Amino acid sequence: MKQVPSAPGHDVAFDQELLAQIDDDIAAPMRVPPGKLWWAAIAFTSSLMLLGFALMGYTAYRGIGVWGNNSPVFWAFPIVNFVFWIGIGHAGTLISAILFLFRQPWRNAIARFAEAMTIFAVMTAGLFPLIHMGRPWLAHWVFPVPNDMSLWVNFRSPLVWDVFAISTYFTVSLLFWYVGLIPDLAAMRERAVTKVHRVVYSLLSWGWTGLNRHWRHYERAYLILAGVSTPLVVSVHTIVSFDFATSVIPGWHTTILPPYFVAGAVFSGFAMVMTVLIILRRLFRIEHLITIRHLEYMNKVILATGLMVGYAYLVEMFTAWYSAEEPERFMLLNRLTGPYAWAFAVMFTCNVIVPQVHWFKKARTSLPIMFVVSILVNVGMWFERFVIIVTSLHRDFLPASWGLYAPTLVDFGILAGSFGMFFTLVLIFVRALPVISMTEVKATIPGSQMTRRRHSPSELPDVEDGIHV
Amino acid sequence: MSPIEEIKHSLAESAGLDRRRFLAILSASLAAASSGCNRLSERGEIVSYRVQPEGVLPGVSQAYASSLPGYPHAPAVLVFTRDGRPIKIEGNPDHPASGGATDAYSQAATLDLYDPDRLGKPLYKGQQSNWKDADGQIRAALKQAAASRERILLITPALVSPAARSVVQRFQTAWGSVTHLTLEMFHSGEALRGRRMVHGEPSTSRVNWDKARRVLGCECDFLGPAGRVADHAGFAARRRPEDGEMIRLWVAEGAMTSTGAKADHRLPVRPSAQPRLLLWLLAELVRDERQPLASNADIRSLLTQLGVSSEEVGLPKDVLEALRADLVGDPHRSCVLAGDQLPWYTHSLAAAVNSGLGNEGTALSSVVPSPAQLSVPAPDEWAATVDELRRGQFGAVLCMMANPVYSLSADLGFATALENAPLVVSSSLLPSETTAKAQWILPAAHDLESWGDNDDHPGLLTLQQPTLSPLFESRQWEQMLLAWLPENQLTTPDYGAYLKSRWETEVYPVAGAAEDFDRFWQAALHDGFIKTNSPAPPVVHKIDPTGLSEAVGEARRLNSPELELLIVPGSRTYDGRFANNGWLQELPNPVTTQVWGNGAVVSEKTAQRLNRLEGELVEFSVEGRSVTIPLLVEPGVADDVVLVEAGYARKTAGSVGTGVGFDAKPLTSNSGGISPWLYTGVTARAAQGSAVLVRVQGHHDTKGRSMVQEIEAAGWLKLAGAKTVHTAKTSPSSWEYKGHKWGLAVDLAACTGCGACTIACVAENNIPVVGAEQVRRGREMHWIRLDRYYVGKPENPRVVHQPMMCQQCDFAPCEKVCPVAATVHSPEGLDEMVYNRCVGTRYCANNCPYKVRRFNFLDFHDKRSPAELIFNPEVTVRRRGVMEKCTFCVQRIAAGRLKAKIEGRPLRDGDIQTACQQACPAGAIVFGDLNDPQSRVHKLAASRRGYLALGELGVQPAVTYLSATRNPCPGLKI
Repeated sequence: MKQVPSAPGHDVAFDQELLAQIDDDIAAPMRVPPGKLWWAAIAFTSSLMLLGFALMGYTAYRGIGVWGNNSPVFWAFPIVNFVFWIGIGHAGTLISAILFLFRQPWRNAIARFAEAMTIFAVMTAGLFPLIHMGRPWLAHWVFPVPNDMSLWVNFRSPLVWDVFAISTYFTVSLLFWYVGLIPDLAAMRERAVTKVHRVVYSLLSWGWTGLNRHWRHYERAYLILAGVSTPLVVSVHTIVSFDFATSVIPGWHTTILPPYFVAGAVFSGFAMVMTVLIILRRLFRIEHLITIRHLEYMNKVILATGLMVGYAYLVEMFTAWYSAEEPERFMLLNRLTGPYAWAFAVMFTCNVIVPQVHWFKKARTSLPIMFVVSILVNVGMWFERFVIIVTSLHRDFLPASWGLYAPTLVDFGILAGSFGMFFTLVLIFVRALPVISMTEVKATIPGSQMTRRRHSPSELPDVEDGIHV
Repeated sequence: MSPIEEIKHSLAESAGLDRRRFLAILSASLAAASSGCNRLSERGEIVSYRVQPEGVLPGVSQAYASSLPGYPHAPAVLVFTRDGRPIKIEGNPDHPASGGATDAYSQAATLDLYDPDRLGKPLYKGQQSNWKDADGQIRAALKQAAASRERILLITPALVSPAARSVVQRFQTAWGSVTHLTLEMFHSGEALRGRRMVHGEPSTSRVNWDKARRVLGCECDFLGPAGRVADHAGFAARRRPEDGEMIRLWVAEGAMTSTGAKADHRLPVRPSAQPRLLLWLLAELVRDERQPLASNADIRSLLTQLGVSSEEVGLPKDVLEALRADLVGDPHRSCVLAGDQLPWYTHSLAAAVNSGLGNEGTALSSVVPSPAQLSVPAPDEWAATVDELRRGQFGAVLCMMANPVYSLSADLGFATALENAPLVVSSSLLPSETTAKAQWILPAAHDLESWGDNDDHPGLLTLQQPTLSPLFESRQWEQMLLAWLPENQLTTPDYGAYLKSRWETEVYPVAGAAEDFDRFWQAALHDGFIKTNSPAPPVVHKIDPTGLSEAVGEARRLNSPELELLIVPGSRTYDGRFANNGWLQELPNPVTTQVWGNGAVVSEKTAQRLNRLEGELVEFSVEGRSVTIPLLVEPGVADDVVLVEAGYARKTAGSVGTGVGFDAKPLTSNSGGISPWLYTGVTARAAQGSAVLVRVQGHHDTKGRSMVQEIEAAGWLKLAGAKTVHTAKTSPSSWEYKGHKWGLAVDLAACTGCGACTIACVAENNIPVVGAEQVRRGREMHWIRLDRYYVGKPENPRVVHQPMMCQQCDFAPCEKVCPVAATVHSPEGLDEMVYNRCVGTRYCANNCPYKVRRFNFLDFHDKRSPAELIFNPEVTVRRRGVMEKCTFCVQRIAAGRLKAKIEGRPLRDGDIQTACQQACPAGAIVFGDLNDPQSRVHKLAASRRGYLALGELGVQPAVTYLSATRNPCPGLKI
């Protein structure tokens, strides 16, 4: 095992290591049986997941009334969770697509994992609109399915836009991720230790042989998908924010919500990637592939997006005051001093104050500090959604209709279940697929072009422009 | 399967119990078991009409004129039945006491009728029995009692029915020694006594709302939920400045009531200080020698020596002076009303003040009390009777529709004395504290299943007819008494026939009808009432100086150390009889907005002095009797006053009402405190623990927002000629309505927050009851809310009630956001809810600025038989997971349109009434076509008082609110 490169000032181009060794290191978790720690971890997360599923089933059986939702807080924990998990996904797309287009080679080491997280987060998020329905068995009605009644969805509803945005996002992210995986799956096929591995990886790698033509198509497809994914980074959370921004409720009815939501999504997504990567690189001994340098860059993004989010909070306050609208001003006052002021305080502390430590290089490169910051940022971002949704709803226009909201144990159980589901998927992923893109990591190493050629079976004919020569 | 296999298979099947057979038997036994629970099918075959009765069309509702003597003020109603089921109660529009409106209690009558907790069969010592045994054994016991010279105790409610009184009389004559006592927890006994003391004969009085100009109410909640419909209507008619001069209402009261909420000047005065206030007024009155009272030297000398100071009354001098000047300014058209809960001498003083004002025939009319009012026994009669009961002098106790174990003061010891009676019979609709002590529990018929008549309204005889055959094996109690007459006197077992023959012999001859009896009877049944000769009005012009001096003496002696506790009828449970009615339990109190319970209403200062917060328990004691009740801290309550609503903490009331709330009854004494409902010298001690008190409203002030607007009469006059008064008539509609455009106008000047509209809506639209816990979580289902706002200083705020229903916005935020288009705009301006399209995202409810959408968080409907019979078949019963809301009674719109079409004429204004509008006693809600320039709603929408709630949002609501009005004395600030 190579030494971990010393963190500060180390170049992104890694040590000259045998490229095969990189493949081996990345493939290692798939080739050896998982240890006790993994089993313990997945036992815990899948128990949480099953608890969550059981409670979702209970909700479908008894009704939404088993949650704390009420009038006027018709949306609460599940929608908070939904926005939270959709937000988590955004970092993956940003890292894998936008940074790819901007030719940021440092993203290669973390892109695969981040993109996988996107998919798991969107899967987790996607559950919530479903279970949140009063009659989830009719969920297909929100899709514009042609029918003999000529009954269409309401295209004016932001929830319908959500359906399109999220299903597009999931589809594109999955394709993008899978296309990027194909060369690595082929490498895994070559390294298969069991028959099952060989068959599965063979099927999944679609007969990839590393032909020049394969690579050419692959690069083109990857580029196009990166291009398609890029606007989704902005559009998906923009559309999610429309759920709130296009409504009439003070605290929701705000034009700043789209950029604010996108910044917040990237913010929380990076923090989640950070939290998991810090553990993962240690457990799988891949500190030399995901270096402190990577983490520092991510911390810079966290700091930058944290400032954007903080700016959005302040602009919201200013606008509320500047509007001279009594309900708007009251909304601001209520956030700061009302019954859920503590949620606002948690949000503001975690999202605005805590990330400021990353102005200091020492903090940016300190594993314990960045770990704590990344967790706090996600706590803060969950509360941000709580503040937006619950605090705005519970006191809107007519004081006689105001109320309070208190979650039930079922709400907490389903929240825990969502984390269980997400981390169960992550744990399966790290044992089933390469968490780091072998091809992309190797591509950033000087002289990689040669090695790649050495990697490809020499007996295969050379291909140029798709034509055998 | 080959033939051989098939034979083998069927052989195997017949031999043993295979899976198919097991399942078949299982399902058959389940079906049998469930059908066994259904009492309706036991009543014989159900066959369709062979010959269709005239006028009865399947699916078309039939109205029957009837009345509900078991409900407060015995309202005259129309009962709308569909296919033989009463579905909806409305007021009888031809009946003067109703005018078509009702209170909340009678709107909820159908729920009492279909209550699954109702007693179904006669029970003897807990065992199911039958009527034959019951009649036989009870008659035998009565005979034995008569033989052994034991007395019979008959307890009934105050009887408004002449026919029922005749039955009781017959029963008494037949058995000889029958003691008949009527039992009402709330009655006008003190008022009758007080007026008798000064006038020589008992009387009651009614305000002539068309003539009165100034009214002072002393602890008199005539606009409360238990007030008369006619008073609500009469008062409301005088609160619209555009219709002429507004009446001015002064209210002196201890705790805030609905009447105080409508007051122009509300004076927080302790109940025990009310006599002093009236004494002060009297003394001021007789200073003027021209006063009719002052002409009597005795009275003048009596009153001039009084010297009651404004400090003794507890009010600032300028306020008292303004009050005096206001009343004396137009004496004939001013009047003073004293509440029934005040002691008799207050009524004497009030009568003297009215006499001094000389307002008889103008502001007030005195009325001869009804026999029911006069029948209420004095407390010592009860004491004597219970004493006899304790000594075993009664051979049988018959509690017919009365619940003495709960209703009588505990210190009387009725419950224990009852054990000395060999036979206790309790006839009741529902299980009660008294049925729990009875050997024979007899299921009574509901008012809607019963015959009867009543003379509660002077000059009218109102009929009551059954609108369905009894759901259970129940009988009306009058019929039971007829069945228990000695064998040789038994007549018809059918009370309907008894009533008819009594009308033929007693009523018809004096009615002076031209037609024969059958026609007369049919006409009376059709109209629901006949006019009779009004009794001569009582003589009230004279004031007896002796009586007055006694009253003055009592009033002078009255002082109130420590706290004082006032018990008033439960705004929802009345005297406890409605405790098992979920609709009423879930209807928020008009002042506190509390549901499913009560509390000790105190001021903030009093709570601070007791060092307890809202919901924390406090023990109140007087003379060794004590009760523990949680505090309910409310603005506008005079310090040191504790107000407790009665009718709660029922020990046995059925599955809904048992154990709900707290009871102040244990504090009371049979001999009474200051009055049977007012106790002074109450000490309070913090007790351990607290209770969850559920209020539907968590916020009570307007936050300075403009959804409720008030206007003063003086300001109104100034505004005449101004172009616009209020804001928020927003941009022209975004929709074009070619035909009708439905709209509503809600007059806040008229609304008292009584809640009749809410219950009417519940009954009309199949709205479920959710229970206290779900209301606490904010999941009540009412489509029409009564928002109550406090304006002004918390010691004595003004109150505005605002009925809040779906505003049917033209630019509806809810319609825009529904992903499945389950809520859509109709061509007539309604936001229609398509229940079977709703998937329950609840986005619409979030985006509703009025928060009037309701979500079925759980399956809230009562599945027990016969509760399902209550549903209005015109309205979808919404399942769990579906959003619902007010539709302006779209089913009534459709029915009205259809009727007009069948009659070949265009829809006329007033053809369609929403359920809320129909029920409203104050006429505060008007529905109609905004596109019709002649419609009432169009005119009201253009009224200068009109404004749109939250109109500034641009949602273009179809509901116009007319601002609340006040008519304060110029220059007087309170």
